[in-house]
Amino acid sequence: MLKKSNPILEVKDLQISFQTNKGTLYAVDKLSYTLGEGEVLGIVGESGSGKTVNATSMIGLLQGKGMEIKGSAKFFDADLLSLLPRQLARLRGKDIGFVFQNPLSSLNPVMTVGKQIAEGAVHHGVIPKSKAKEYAINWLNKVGIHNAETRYKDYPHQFSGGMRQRVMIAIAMACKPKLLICDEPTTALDVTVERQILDLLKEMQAEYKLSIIMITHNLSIALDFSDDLLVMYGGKAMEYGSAYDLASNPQHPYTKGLFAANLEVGKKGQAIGGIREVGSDLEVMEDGSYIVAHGEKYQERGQMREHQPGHLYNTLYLK
Amino acid sequence: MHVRNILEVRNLQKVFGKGPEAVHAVNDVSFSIREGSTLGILGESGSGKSTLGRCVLRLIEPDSGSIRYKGEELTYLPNEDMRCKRREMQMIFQNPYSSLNPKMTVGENVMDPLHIWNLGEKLERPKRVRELLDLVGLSSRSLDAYPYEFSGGQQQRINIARALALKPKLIICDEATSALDVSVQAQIINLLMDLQKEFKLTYIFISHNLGVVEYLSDEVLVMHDGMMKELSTTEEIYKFPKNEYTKSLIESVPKMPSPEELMARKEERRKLF
Repeated sequence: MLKKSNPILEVKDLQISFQTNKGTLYAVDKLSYTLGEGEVLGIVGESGSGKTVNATSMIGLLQGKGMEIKGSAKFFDADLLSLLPRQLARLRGKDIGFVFQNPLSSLNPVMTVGKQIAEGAVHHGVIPKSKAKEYAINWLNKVGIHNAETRYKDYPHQFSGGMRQRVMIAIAMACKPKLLICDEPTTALDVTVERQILDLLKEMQAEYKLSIIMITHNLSIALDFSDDLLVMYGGKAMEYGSAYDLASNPQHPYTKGLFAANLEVGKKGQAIGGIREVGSDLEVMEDGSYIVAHGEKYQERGQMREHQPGHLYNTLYLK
Repeated sequence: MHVRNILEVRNLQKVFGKGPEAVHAVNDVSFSIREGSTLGILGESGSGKSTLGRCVLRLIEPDSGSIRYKGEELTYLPNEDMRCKRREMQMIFQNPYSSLNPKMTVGENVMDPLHIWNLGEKLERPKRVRELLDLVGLSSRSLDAYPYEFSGGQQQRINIARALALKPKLIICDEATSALDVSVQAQIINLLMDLQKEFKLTYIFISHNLGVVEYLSDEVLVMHDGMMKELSTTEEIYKFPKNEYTKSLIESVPKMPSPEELMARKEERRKLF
C-alpha cells in the first residue's frame, strides 16, 4: 500500500459481510487504504459498490445480526474494529465527524440548530455547558450563516437545503475532529449551492488540517477535491492511487469506464459509456465464486497489483 | 431544407396560489422547437422547469399563453381532444419505479397504452410489445416479470418502451436520468439519442444536470424562479453565456482538474511532509 509518513487512518484487508437468504454477501472485500494527516481521499463508485458501508461500519454506525467485520482499521494507535462500543462512542463525533447526504433527515427536527451544534461539544467535554450558546453562534458564523444570533434558535425546517448542510458541517466540526467522513455531502443540492458547500469544506480542511474521506458517485467532485482516489466496485477496490495517476493513466477498465461515462460539461459530441449495466446484486455461490448481475461468474477474488509505486489496480474483471 | 417547428409556446404563465403568497411558477415563457431536435430546459430545484414541462402537455393547466403543436392551438382544446393529442406527446419521469404500475408485469405495462387506445389487433399486440422491448434493449424474457425485479436502468428502459408504444412525436423527459448511476445514465442517454435518430423524435429534456443537458441538447432554455433567463443554442449558452444567472450556473459546475493541476497538487502535498 501507499507509504505515508504520518497516517491517521490505516485500513487493512477490511471485509464486511452480511448473511442473506441467498448466502453470504461481501459488501466490502479485502479493502485496504491509508489516509495521511490533512489529506483527502475520494472514494468513488456507483450505488451498491460498498463505499458507504465501508465508512459507516468501520466506526460502528452500522451494526446488526448477520453482519461480520474482519480486518483492521487503525485510527492513530487504536484499531477501530476491536474497540469496545463505549470506546468507539468516545471517538465518534469527537475525533471522527460525519456529514451525510440528506441534512434534513440527519438533523433532529425538534431541537434548535444551536443546541444541536453545541450538544456534541458539551458531551465530549470540548467546552463547558455555560459556553454552549456562544460556541454554537460562533460556529454558525464560521459556516457562513448570517444573523447567527437569531438563527441559533431556529429549527432545521426553517433552513434551506444548503443552509442545513452548513449546519451539518458546523455540528461535525464543532468537536474539531481529525477526520471528517463526507458521504455524498452535495448530492441532494443544486449546483450553485453545491459549489458553496464544497468551497466551505475546502476552507475547513485548510484551516483545521482536516483529513477527509469524500464518498461520492461524482468523479468530477472527487477529483476536484482529493489527493488520493479509491475506485470501488462490488465491494472491492478496483483502483487506488493519487488523483493524478488515476486521472492521467487509469489502469482498470472500470476506472476507464467511469471516466468515459462521467458527463461533465464539455463532452458534447464525444462518445460516452463503456460500462456494461451491472446491478448492485452480488450473489455468492456455494463454491465461493461470484455471480455479478450480468451473469458472468468469477472464481478468483482479485488481487491488487502495483502499476507503479503508490498506484494499484485490481486484477479482477480484467479482460 | 426548411424544418418546421413542431411546438411553439408563447407567453406561458402559471401561478399557484393567490395574493401575496402566490408563486409564479412559470412566468412569461416562450420557445419553439424544430422537429427532430432537442430542447434542454435547465434549472435548479424550484425554478419551474417541471411545471413548464407539464403545462406543455396540459397535465397542469396553464393560466394564460399559447401552445401550438404542429400549428394547432392546444390551450382551447376540450379535455377529450387534448387527451387524444397526448398520444403524440409522451412523458418520461425521474423515478423509473414509481412511474410503472407495480401490479402489472412488464409486458402489461408496455401494452397498456395499446390497450387504452385499442390499437392493432388484440392478438398482434404481444408481438408489438416484444418489438418495443427489443428496441430498448430488453429481452422478451422480461415480459412476464414485474418491475421490481429490474434494476433502475432497466426500469427506465421499460418506461421508454411504454412511451414509444404510441409512436409519439414529442417526448418530454423530466429528469429522466437523474436517479441513475453514471454508467447507466450514459446508456440511457445513448439509447435516447439512437431512438431520436431512428424515429425523428423531438425531445424536451428537463434537467438540473448541466453536463447531461449540454450533451443532449441542440438548444437550451435556462430557467430561474419561473422566468426564462436565456434561450440559445447549446454552444452559445455554455461557451458565451450572456445572462448573469447562466454564468453563475456554469461556473458552479465541479470541473475535472487538468492533469497539470493534479500534478501540481501532488507536488505541493509532497512538500508538506
